[in-house]
Amino acid sequence: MRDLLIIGSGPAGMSAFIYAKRANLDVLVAEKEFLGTGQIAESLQVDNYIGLVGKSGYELGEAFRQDAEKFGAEFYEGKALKITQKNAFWVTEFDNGESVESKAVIYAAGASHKRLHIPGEDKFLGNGVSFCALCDGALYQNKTVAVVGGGDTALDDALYLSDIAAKVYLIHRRTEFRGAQKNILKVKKKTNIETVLAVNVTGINGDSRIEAITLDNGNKITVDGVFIAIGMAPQTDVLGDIVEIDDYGYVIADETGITKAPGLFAAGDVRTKKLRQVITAASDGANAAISAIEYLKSSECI
Amino acid sequence: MAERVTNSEFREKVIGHPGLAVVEFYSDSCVPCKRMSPVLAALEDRYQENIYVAKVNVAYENELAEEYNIGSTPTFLFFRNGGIVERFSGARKRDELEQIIESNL
Repeated sequence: MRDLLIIGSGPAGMSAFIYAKRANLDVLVAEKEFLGTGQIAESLQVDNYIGLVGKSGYELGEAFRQDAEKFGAEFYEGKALKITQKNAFWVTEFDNGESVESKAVIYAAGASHKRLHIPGEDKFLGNGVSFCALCDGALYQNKTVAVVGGGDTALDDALYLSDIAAKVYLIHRRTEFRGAQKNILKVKKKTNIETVLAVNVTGINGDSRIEAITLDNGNKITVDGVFIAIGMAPQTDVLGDIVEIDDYGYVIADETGITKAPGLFAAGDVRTKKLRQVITAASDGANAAISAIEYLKSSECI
Repeated sequence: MAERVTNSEFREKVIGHPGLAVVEFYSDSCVPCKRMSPVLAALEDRYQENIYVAKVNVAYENELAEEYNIGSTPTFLFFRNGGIVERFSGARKRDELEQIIESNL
């Protein structure tokens, strides 16, 4: 049995690991994505982490991971499916069928891309449906794509894709975009971006490739690819009702990471807080580790 | 280092390779592609006598991406004597790749 299982290898998880390891705990880090570093990897440039301004998000994520590796971090590949308390310890079940027992858990699984939950989305995921315009945009040279969403990510994606694709439909369910005004103006200036407002996408159709999307106003738009940019959602489903979760899916916990469940701590984007950034995730990890260390000491587990 | 091949070289270098060729279709800004770089390099070192490792940049080799129906990056194709024996998308562990290579050598 481990002293501590950290679920998540982003900034919160890596920072928690370093604090816990320095307190001599026997720690395992579980990650759902091989060599994952969390959402930070997708940031082009980090402009608000003191001392590291200008570094790419990818490099920063790698640096966090490498620092944890210097302290001997041991990684476990698996997506946590269920966490249950058994007597005075925790059992975490993973998608590979295995489970890990630990005296305490720091849950730092972060957030992931929100899905549309419409027919065709799963079928074409990785084959026409993408969450990363920078990764997959090049596959749509002189083609037609749809970007779904109304925030800055959707606007940025539409702008990026408009330089590659022949035509970009930017589809948003509200009557106005939520993104920054300067981005909205840039989008309006692009002759090959057509904005489609106040509609929902209801289906992604095609045989072996995407052929069209359907909208709830009855219209159909012919596209070759769909980029979804409707925000991020915390990964807290697996916690079930062992902790308190707010209306938006966040674990109710303050900066100590202490939750309703003794021995289970929340850190990073999964918990209720005002600012969800790398710097607050790293800070959360440190705090949650200290809470876990105190918990283990007080319950004389170690 | 995996060799970057262009559309015009693909037929000769990959399809024409006697034995196993591993091809990564990648894009410059793709995070899982970056993660796979050291993994590919390690495989190339280990199997240098037995495999040919190539990379195709989808931003420049659009025809190849079309031809092989690449829907996301990275996508890995394994060719044995010119025929596709395995394909998958996304980052994978080194030992999974080794298994695929071992079973197709």
